[in-house]
Amino acid sequence: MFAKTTRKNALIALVLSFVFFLSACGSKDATLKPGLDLDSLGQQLMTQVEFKDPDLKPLDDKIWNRYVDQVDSSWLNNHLVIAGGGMVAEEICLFEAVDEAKAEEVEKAMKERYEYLKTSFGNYTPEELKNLEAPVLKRVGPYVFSVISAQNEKVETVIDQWIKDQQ
Amino acid sequence: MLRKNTTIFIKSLGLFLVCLFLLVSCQKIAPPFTEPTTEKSSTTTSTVSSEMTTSSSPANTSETTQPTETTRETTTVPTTSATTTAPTTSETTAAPTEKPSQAPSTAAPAEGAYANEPPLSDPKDASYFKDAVFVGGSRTQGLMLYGSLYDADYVAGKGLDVSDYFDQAIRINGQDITADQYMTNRSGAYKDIYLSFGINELGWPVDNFITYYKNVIESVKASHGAASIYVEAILPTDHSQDGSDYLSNANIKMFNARLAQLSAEEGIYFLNPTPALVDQSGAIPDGVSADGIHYDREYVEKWQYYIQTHVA
Repeated sequence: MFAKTTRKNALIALVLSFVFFLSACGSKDATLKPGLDLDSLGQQLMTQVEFKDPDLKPLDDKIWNRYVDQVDSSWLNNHLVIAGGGMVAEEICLFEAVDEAKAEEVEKAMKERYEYLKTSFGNYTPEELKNLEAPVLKRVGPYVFSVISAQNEKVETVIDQWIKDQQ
Repeated sequence: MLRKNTTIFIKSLGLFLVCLFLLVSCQKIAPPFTEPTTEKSSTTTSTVSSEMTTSSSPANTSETTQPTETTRETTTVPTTSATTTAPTTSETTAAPTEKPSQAPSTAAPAEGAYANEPPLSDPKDASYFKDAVFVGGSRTQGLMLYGSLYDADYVAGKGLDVSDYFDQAIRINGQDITADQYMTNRSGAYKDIYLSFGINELGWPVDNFITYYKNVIESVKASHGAASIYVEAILPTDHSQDGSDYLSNANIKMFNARLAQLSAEEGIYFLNPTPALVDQSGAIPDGVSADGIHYDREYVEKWQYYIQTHVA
């Protein structure tokens, strides 16, 4: 009788452990919810990543799409594009797409943008190509984050932490 | 019996501890469920985007000998003679070709020195420029990005020169098209057209530059006969370029004198922000340009202010 009870309790404990384990891991991987504050990520990137251009600034709503014209603004719910004067290969592009399908389109468009920038800088100021070798590009649910800088590792760290903080 | 129960208990406890360990580890390892898609762009070679195209010659030149247009690295200087010349100047490097025959002083012409320069006025609001277009190279791109004339249009590409205007596709509002084709497609759309060329052509023979610039002006007039057209003086550089045969302010001044003459002959306006930008030495101050040529945000705003205060 005692053995039966003990086995039963052990089984319950085991099942509860698994349930706890699964739910904890599951919540870590949840897609970011819509409507997050992209400005906060932009600010963290600006303060924690070293950029050569001291004049990086968020682009006005009327201008950003002329600069990042590979992305269709109708794909987006929100955006933040931070850029300088165009002579240094540095920029921050943070997007919230209308859905995950459009986020894929945005991601694809940013890859096209990298190729465009490589040509543009390559024929003009090739020393800037280094930053374009492997820009950071992350897609999380409906969000796409793209940062061109000389500190990819730092950028990754900042973005990963921001994602974690949004959970 | 007691031993059996204890064994069962110990095994269950062990299993529980294993689960707990896995739970803790799960905070550190990549989860098997939905995860961020992280991609690093590769450095694979791609086909050249249509921003850079090669063509045989500018479309509208009236000269008998056509220059051979090439890629940016080895640009052949458009020539009016039968002989070809050496590579031209880019905005960041100087490639010696033919030197200018004059050696003018570095002093900037005074404000109002040109009869076709619009007089000083109160600054126009950004909305005033909603029917304006700014055409030029990377400096014009800087005006778009650092300035605040958000309602204007911009036709700008790194390295764009007066020859490229006709035959090099650049990215304009999501399409890859030459500046000339874009302006033709938008025939009559603009009331004010600002042309800003020259920094990329400072190594050209000045006569060739003027010939090509005239072609640009004629094409713009053809599509926008009623517009106010402004030729902007080549903006000054800082002292880091003093030793350059092409990017020095002495050479820029010589080119600007010819531009002023061209604009007068064409019956259009000439904008000369130079006096508003240079210090007493005739150059832009040290520290406002990382490369001596492209201005920082503050100085672009100064340039923009000049534009806003000198409209027809």
